[in-house]
Amino acid sequence: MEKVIVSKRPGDGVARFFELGLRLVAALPLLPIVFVVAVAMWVLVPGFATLINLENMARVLAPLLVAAIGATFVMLTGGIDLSVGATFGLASVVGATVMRDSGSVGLGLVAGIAVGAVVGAANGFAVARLRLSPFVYTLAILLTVRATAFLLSRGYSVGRLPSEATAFGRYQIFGVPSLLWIALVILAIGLVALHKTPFGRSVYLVGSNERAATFNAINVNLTKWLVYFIGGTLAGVASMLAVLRLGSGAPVLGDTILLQIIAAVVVGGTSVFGGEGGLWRTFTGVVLVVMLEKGLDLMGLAFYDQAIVIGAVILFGSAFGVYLRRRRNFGLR
Amino acid sequence: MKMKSGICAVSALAMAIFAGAYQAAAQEPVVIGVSFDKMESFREGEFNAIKAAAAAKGAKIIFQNAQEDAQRQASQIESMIAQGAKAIIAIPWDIEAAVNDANNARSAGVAYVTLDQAPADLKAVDFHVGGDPCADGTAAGEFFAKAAGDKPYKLLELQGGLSNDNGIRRSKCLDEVLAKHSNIVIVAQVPTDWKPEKALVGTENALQAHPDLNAIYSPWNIGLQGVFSVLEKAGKLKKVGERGHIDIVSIDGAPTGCQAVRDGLIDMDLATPVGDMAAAAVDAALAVATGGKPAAPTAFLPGTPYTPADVATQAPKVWGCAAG
Amino acid sequence: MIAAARRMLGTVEPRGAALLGVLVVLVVAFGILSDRFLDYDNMANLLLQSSITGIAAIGLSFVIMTAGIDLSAGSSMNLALVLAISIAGTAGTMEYTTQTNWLVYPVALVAGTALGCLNALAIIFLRLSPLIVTLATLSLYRGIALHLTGGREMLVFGSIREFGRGLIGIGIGYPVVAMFALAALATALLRHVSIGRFVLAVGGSERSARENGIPTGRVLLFAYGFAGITAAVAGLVLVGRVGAVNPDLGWQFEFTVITAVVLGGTSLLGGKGSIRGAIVAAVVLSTISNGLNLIGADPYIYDVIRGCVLLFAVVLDAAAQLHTPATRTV
Repeated sequence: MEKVIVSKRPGDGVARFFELGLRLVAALPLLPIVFVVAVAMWVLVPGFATLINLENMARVLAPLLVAAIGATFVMLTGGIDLSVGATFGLASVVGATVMRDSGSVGLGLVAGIAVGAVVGAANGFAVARLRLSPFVYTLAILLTVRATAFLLSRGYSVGRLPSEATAFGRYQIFGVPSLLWIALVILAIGLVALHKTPFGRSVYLVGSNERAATFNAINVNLTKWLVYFIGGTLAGVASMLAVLRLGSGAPVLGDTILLQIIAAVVVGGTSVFGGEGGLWRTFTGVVLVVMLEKGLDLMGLAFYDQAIVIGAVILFGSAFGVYLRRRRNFGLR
Repeated sequence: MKMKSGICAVSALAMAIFAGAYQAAAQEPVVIGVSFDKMESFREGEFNAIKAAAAAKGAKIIFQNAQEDAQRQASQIESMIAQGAKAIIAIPWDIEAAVNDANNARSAGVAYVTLDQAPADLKAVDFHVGGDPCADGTAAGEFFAKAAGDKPYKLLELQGGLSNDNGIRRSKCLDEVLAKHSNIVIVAQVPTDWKPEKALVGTENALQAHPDLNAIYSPWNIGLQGVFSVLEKAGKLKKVGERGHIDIVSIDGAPTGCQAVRDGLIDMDLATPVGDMAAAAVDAALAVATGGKPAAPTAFLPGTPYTPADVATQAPKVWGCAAG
Repeated sequence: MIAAARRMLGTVEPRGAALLGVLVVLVVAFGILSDRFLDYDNMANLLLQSSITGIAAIGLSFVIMTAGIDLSAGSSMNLALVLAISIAGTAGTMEYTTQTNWLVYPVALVAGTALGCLNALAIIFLRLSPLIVTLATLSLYRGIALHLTGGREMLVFGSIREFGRGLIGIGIGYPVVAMFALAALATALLRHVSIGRFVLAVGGSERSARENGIPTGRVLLFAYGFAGITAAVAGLVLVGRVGAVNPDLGWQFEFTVITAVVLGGTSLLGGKGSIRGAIVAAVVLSTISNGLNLIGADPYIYDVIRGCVLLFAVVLDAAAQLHTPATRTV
């Protein structure tokens, strides 16, 4: 994310306010669209701006946000992880099975997250050390991991978990669903890691210019390994949030989430070529995806019409972001 | 006399309350949220039946299709409750997650009824009505056993989606019957996830490995298209009774299944009683939503068998034949 | 000595040789394990089963050679077929059925071309990466197709069934002939026609291609349009064979096709690739399913093995790149 710096230049309040707005939009190119969609939904869709709908949106948002945070780290280095959805599915199967068979929710959570961490660590090793193409390698891992989930579960979903599992999924702290709290804590940690640590700086450097990063004595391999490790682990965490919400794990659970994750990260304004973007941008992307899904549901739009709207939003949202970035480069700098 | 007038007064009062309640109901129809797992012609038949049943009872419907995503289904059901639905009729995509959806709805005071796909725990829902996958699988198995007699008999078993009850038990109960007949060999079990392409390739390969195949089990009507395509290419698509005919049994009673029976291409189809199922689901949903109880906690309605020989007389009982 | 060996490896295309080796091992292994695998009929079936992936892989190879990607292949296939059937079909006597005439073929091809070209236009004019554009159209095209059909499956009769089911004299399906013809056409385009040669140049470096006066926009239109055509042809084969258009026609088909292209040795970085390799890879993928099916293996193991084969290829590729200079082969 670009730093938002308020101009010290003397000027009247309106101009400064205007410039602040411009800089905010430059930092979060999707923000105007999120704002317009939110207002439109508020006005047009009965039941959208209600407390209960906000709570429902929070529960949908939590797993997607957590997985998208991991994917953002990967994309910032110029990589991609196509296996997140499959990892999400496998982790849900393993986590739910352990929960059911051991009767311990905690043990299940650990197992599910560990699955994500192991897949992530292996991905990191392959991309960083073996220098395999991330797109092809994670495509192969997608197939293998998804098939493993099917093999383990024989295609069945795994449920009838201990009652504490779903009780936690419903639990609220200060009126906010527990799942959202977890997602927000992870967002906060991610922001600190990305903007306040040498690791975060090296993520951006590796993404914008790997060669320069090497010359700057940055451990490129370690950075790459870490982002895939984080991506896999957070896919595991996200999967556990979904299991706590649904009370079930299934090999097909992650089938649709890969596209949602990539859409949220990319529409938010993180470049697929690396080096540009950030977690706040991803946050705006996730919010847009979830608002559209819930808003269009409430409007009673059929699933396939929603797919049309979401496709158009990905296309024109990204194009708008690209346009803004071009304008900013000529105007503000 | 006094007592009698008392009874009269009470009954008059009761009638007045009842009439008032009925009027209120007429003014503000009960909203039923209908949540489907996917869309296809079979589901459309079910949806039309629900619409008709709800219209007959003056209830209003909100419909959403989760398109094979458990998270989306949970979210859509939450939205329906937020929109004021007093009852949910769901065809669950994930039968385990359905238990949790049911708990959430019922703890919010909303009736939760499942249709067609049974949830993993039937006690979690107010009412379930569906076909009887086990009765249908058993009926198919018994048909094959009779056709085989005591001759050696090779059967290809296509399987539906194994993440749901219909997929699992239509196969399991068939297997149980066939296991009792040592002359019947199941040469392959092909999970298709209800996709006709997979039925096509599975049949093609099984026929290659076993050119002397005697029978094919297609536990849903759409799978038949892939089966016919392969048999036609191999010159084995013969009508029932013709030399070299391969015995085929299917389940659903959809328009395409009815057509296949009318064309004499399959030996038997088991028609799921879609209209009765939908009516039972709507009745139960309205009963629970207005503080009552369904007559029974579950209803499993076995399919109506019909064959090329009796399709003319059975057609009125088969929803897909009426649509054609 | 080592240098000589390296030179030799460089000329025989290490990926192609390895892939053929994998195919031979698979064929021998399944031939031993199943007495029906090597039958002429099964070989013909196997080629027919691989033709759907193979045909689509030819077009997608062009896209990937320009350093692009097409995630919308499965959705384009679905929408092109739905459009063709709704434009060139008449409602059948029974509900959910459509009778088609020969017009479905030209309409499907035109629709496929248009959908592919739309991808290219969005990439050019909205200045977006192919990944984003085709991710968007993956959702968009599928949504439109489902909207048109209302999410129902549709049984199709008439002309549309003839291509997918037709056989030439020696028992080989029309789609197999089409696959080889398209592969020959694609190879000729890449070698002898300027727009085809430009495909590799754009993938090598778009900037230097543009500086050398290559019309990069037109090249992209050509590559994505061609991918749209092959997706439509693959759809005609699939629908013709099954006899039905079901709503999830082509769902995740793009992954299978990308797997075949990459397994065949086309680099995702663009600039080099092999049509022949993509076809062999499609055959390898079908051999795995067909063979495992014949020997009665656990169906859930198929994808594990397919994933492992792709993994093996990726590792091999990385190893080869360490030892041989980058080669450009067609």
